Amino acid sequence: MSSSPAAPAAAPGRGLPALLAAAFVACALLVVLGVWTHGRMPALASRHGASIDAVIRYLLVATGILFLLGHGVLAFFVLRYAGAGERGSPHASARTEWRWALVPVLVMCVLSEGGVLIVGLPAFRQLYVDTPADPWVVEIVGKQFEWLVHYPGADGKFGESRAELVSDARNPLGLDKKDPNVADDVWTRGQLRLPVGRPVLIRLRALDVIHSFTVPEFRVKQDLIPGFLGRTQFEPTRAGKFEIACAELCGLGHYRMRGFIEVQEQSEVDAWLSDQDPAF
Amino acid sequence: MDGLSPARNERAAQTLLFAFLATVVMLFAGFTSAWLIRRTGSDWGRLQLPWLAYANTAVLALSSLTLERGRVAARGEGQAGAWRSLGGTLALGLVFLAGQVGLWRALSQHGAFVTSTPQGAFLFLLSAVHGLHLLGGLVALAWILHRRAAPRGVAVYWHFLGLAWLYVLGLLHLA
Amino acid sequence: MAERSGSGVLSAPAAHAGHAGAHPAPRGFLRRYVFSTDHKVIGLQYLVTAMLMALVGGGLAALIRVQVAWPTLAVVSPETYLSVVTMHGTIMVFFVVSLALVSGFGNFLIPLQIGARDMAYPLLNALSYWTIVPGCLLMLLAFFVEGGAAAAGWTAYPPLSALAEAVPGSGLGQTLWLLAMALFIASFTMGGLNYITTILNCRAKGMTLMRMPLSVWMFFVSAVLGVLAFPPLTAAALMLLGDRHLGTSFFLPGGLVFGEEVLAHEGGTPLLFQHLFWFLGHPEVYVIVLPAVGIAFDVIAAHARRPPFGYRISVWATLLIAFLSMIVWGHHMYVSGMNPLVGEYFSIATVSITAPFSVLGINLIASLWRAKIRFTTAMVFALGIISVIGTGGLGGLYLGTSTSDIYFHDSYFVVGHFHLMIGVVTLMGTFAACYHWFPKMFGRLMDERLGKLHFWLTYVPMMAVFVLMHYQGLSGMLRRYYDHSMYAFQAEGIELARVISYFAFAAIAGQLVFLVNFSWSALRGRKASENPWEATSMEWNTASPAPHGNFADDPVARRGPYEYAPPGSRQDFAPQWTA
Repeated sequence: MSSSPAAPAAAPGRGLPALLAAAFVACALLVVLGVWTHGRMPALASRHGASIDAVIRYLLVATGILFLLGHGVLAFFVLRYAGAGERGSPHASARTEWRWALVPVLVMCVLSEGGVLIVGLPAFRQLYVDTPADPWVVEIVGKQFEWLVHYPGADGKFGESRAELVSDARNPLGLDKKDPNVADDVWTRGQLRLPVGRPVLIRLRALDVIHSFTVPEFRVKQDLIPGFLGRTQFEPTRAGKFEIACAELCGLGHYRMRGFIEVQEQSEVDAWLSDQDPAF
Repeated sequence: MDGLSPARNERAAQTLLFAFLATVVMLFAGFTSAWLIRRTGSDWGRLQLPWLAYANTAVLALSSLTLERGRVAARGEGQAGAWRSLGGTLALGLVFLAGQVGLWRALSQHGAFVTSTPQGAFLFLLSAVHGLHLLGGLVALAWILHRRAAPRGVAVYWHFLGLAWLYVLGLLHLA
Repeated sequence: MAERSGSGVLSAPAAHAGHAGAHPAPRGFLRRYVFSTDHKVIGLQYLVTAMLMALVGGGLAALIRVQVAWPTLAVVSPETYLSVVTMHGTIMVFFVVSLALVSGFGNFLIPLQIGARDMAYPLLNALSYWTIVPGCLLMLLAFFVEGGAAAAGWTAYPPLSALAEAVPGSGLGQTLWLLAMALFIASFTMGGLNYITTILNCRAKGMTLMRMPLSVWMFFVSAVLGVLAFPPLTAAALMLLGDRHLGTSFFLPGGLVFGEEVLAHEGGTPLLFQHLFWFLGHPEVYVIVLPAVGIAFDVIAAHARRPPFGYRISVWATLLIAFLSMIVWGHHMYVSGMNPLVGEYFSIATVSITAPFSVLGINLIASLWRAKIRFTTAMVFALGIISVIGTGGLGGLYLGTSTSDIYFHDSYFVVGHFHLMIGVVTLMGTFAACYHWFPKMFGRLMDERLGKLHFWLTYVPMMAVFVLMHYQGLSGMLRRYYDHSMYAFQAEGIELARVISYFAFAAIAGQLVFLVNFSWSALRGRKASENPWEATSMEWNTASPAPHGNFADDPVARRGPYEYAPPGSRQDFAPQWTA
């Protein structure tokens, strides 16, 4: 078999390999640089959030190194093996091939499972395992397109609500007047007050479609599923005003389903709460 | 399929059949997982199946028997008998489908069907999906009869659908 | 079929005429180009259909970019915006990428590369194509019905997708969406069954499984995954139809309130749909990504003039990826209220995919080691794939890790990540395949200069668009928002959104270069010889374009698919069909 003498259809331009290698290197450097210039997360405001940020920082460093390394090798190979010249046999033994399969397997197993099981463990524990003593309990009910905030009042018990009783103007939660626990309950449209430095436990429900409660400063995101009582917990670490946004597509007004959080001293929250009209 | 030997043809048909059966298994697996999750719902009750459901099952079982007889006969000398048996399967399959429609009507008259109970909804959906697959089997069977071809693949498919129906019935009895 | 570059096995072209008697090419325009059963014609039909759908999907993308970057212009209303987002996703995933890459190139390449004359069931193949045509039409028709096209996202989560009360698009538009998807699934399943049957039964003599090119391997794994993963979605779609039109309550719980009206549904579970959807949804990612990787291996081997590094290992890694992809669907649901321990299992399983996937990445890069790279357009695209897979793949770790995903879930980080993987990788795979196998389609070569221009207008702007979206995600910006300006933490991102939009427009314009090149070259391109790239796999063992029946004689595979620079020999390459 004599190889065809005809030149391959595309003769390589001399500049192209250099340009490609430069593009790969530039891509790698710009991506990493961009994390510094454009990758800022909103200032942290919760205790467990520090653990989530730690996971993200860990991943930024770990994947950043692999990313730079990979693009560096790619650019080098493109340049090195573009021109003519002696380069030795390209055939690798099966043993070499297996060895180079083992390297990424080991690296990725350690790196990725380590991220989940070791670096991620504190965040997981604080979010799902720990049961904080004496939490501030409040209920958030999602409906198109607002967040109803339901405080249990002085008795600490949520009054019962029923779908048939829902009335948009007067009783959007559908609270049942006959339930004795309802009397001191307080509800607001999208005004959530939280005490600083105290664990918060939020009950989550939805009336119509799936919504998702998210406050980026708290590193919190949890879906509200109709027919299902969900929960999320966190601890605000600094006073201030924050926004609640909806993270799950819920209809036309998804983008304007905004709520407001004010984190204050416990005494201020209590004072505010006592100023509110009770549900009935 | 041009250019392939008959033996290869046969093997290809088998591959196609079993790959297709795998998709049907996955389809019913999807419904099963839905069933398992849905039965934890607050409104899960019991569904009283009318006798027609069991009569239909018997018809389907009988159709498998005649098909099996036809398949064996088609291999040997009794060609004419084979086509008669296959015709029987075809007829029984049609009876089964008619019976299933009857089953739907009986259930909806008892007010225990699609919208009223979750089991009714599952029964409707599963029997409809099963019936559609069976309809495909009937078409294949008719084609086999028309072409006087050996009913090997169709037999596997038909028996498989028989088992699938037993599986659906079993699910409904699990409650 | 002018110059046959020395192949002793092949008989003279005259033999083809003799053979054609047994397999006459159909006459007449309709039989030949429209209702054809020839896998090459069907593959091209898929490809062209996908290109037409891509015009729609790309137009929708441009609309999204205008709305997100300049919300005050309000080019579309909120209800139209949601339809646009939903349809862009659905059309691009299923009707562009799946059609072009899996259905299009799968059809075109599999029989040629395994040395078969056609698919095992050509009629089934034609039926599969003619099932997708009404599917496309139904999907497009949805734009013109009352309430507009489906607006519940391409994931179609109920209750939003189940109730017209929830969003106008969930009226007739969603029904059409479901019907179109049913046709797509039917077509794709027929195709997948045919691929599996063909690859297992119709390989040429000597074409053992381990002599198949990696592209065929990946098409095979992709077909198996598709055939197993789509049926549960079919089940979910049927149940959703029941909830929508028959009044069942599979996914709808009791006590749903719209306005002040309480719906009659009772006892259903919305999360059930998500489980069934992602049981398909995640394998679907690999259904479309793996063929692109396989194509990259093929193209790199041919233009780097050396065998791919670790052929066998790549096959095993692919099988492992396929298996893992079916048990990790829950990573789309970390914040859905699923039991956190179950979530942790899904997280552990999910990130373990990085191990076999990084093996594929290393093997792609190492396939350049001691190579003699020819920088053709196809090769340049394949090199681009390596870069994009690395970028997108590493981004996946942030989302697969359950704790960091709490922050990134449903943010632009997700949008950037999956566009890189199932958008850019797959598109660049499709392009690499077009430039590489164009001779077999039309007997001509695509224009290299326009091709290079196309590469730069694809790689640079697309990387910019989707990498910048990762930064938006880091800053907390959420996806599927009509207008971000209302939120303090999102308003800043709008500035970046404008930059992204400029890059996006460049990327879209770049694709016009491709369309021009494709159609011009098909008619006027430089004529290609039988084996213009001096490649080794079986599809180059026939004329360009490949004739009806593919091969003059029954081909025989006498060696592996990638014998470039064969050891102990001074020749540059040893084709698979040579002794």
